Amino acid sequence: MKKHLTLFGLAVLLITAVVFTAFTQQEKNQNNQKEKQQKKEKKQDKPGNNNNNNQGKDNKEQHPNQGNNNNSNNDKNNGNDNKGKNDNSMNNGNDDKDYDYNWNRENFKDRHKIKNQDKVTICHKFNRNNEPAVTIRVSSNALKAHLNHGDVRGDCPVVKSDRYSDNYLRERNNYYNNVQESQDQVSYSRSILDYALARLTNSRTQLVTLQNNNMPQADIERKQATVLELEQNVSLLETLLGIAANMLVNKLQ
Amino acid sequence: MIYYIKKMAPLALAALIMASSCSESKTNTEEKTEITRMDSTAKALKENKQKLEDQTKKVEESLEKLDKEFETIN
Repeated sequence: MKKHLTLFGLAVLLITAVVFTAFTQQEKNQNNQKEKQQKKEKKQDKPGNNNNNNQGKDNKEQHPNQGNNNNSNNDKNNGNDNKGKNDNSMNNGNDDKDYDYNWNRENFKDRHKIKNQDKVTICHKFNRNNEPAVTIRVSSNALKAHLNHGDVRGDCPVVKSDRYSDNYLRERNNYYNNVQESQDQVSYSRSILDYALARLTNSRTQLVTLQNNNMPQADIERKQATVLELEQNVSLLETLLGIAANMLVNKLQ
Repeated sequence: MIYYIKKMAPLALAALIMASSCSESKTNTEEKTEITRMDSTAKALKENKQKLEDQTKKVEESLEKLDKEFETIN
């Protein structure tokens, strides 16, 4: 009897030890996964990984919803600004875009109104395992891309978690709202960049035509200066967009 | 029987408390590290967003100038 009881006691201790080890191991694995993910993100954040001239384009390829925005937009706009067409209708039927802006000369004047449309609350889901969804506010122009990604309108359901403290969840929510705001700005800037590139191509063609039509040299030089200024600003915007998009890579996936 | 249970129970309880407190403090440290990381990333994102906003405005202004300059042509 005495022996049996001693054995029972030892078994209880053994089970406790096993449970403790199992939990610690699980935590270690989670830590390792997080560290790996952070290392990956750091690698992608390094500016040396990208050629500045191609940053804008590279980053578009990294975003799953962006597809061939640049090309499709340029093709549509080259030499033809869609003047008089489409007005405020932003959707051109391309679901691969991460933005719904489709600028032309008419709606470009109303861009502030279009950009500052009401924000929508969505429950953003992550592709990563065990990553809880987060409630964020997104520009209505980016809503479609989010819904395509599997997000749903409205707040995320409140789940009481023993794993995370309330403070952590609050901070995390703020963080992802910041990320989304940056993402909205990147989308808007990218749409402006695409439009500016199309306008540049168009203007260069027009300049050649004007030169052939013997327009006064002073007028041509003035127009050339405007084109040059836009070129310089576009180049800077491309660089900044590359950096911003690199910082956002995988943040909302 | 009761004697042995009484003898072993405190030990088992102590072991359980130790295990749970260790994992709790680990989680807290992880959360603090994560919050610090999120803060610094958010700060960098905000700065970059501001730069992007300013540069986008410049491009918009250049586009307006271009519109005026080529207005009569189209």
